[in-house]
Amino acid sequence: MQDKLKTAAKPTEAFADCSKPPQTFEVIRGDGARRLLECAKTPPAPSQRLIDSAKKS
Amino acid sequence: MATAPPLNIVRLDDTHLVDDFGCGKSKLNSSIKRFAREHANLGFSVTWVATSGTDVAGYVTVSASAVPVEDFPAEMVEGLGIPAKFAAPTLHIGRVAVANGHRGTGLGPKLMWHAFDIAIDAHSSLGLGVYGVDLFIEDLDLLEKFYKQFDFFAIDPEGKHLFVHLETLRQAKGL
Repeated sequence: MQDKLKTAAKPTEAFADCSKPPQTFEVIRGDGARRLLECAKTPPAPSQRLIDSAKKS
Repeated sequence: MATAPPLNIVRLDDTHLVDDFGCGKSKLNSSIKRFAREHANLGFSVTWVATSGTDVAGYVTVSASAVPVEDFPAEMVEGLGIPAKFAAPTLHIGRVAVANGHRGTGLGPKLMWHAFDIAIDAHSSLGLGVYGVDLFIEDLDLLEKFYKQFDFFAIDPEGKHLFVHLETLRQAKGL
């Protein structure tokens, strides 16, 4: 079975590279999740710099 | 003197010439040359390029990400009525790069706002409440030089995993 899996699951180069974090599908855990939830409860008001950036873009 | 044609931001496809893309960072150069199309084909991510035709002046790669509620501190989600299996969706920016000849033109912020607009659109069209935009940086200098202008803040002890709330972005646009 193991041999079968080895031959069947031959990832492409891109797939293999993508398996290395932190490119995609990153899960936010622990203190990061806590900070995000705190932020969700009271989203920070945008800075003037961000407002200016939005107008230019 | 001829005026440079305006750049449009479109989804990367086979007509775009990426082999000569150079931004001074080898990882960012190889990412668009070697991986961007295949990752899009596999459904991992989508790369958007700034182009006036076939040459690529810059790009941003985005993908979906999520924060599982089970990873939120229990005392913070109590009473909010959030299902235990719920995951708060985010938009993940994987790569953003501007080619050497286009530095200082404001293209970097344009690409960032393209990604932000995708998050804002997803929020309104899917009704799932995309939570915000997150990304990783390898060079901490970039936090001060580039990312802080978008109100990103670090959510990890090393200061490399950045996040900006969708509502902050919406307010910046006057939405």
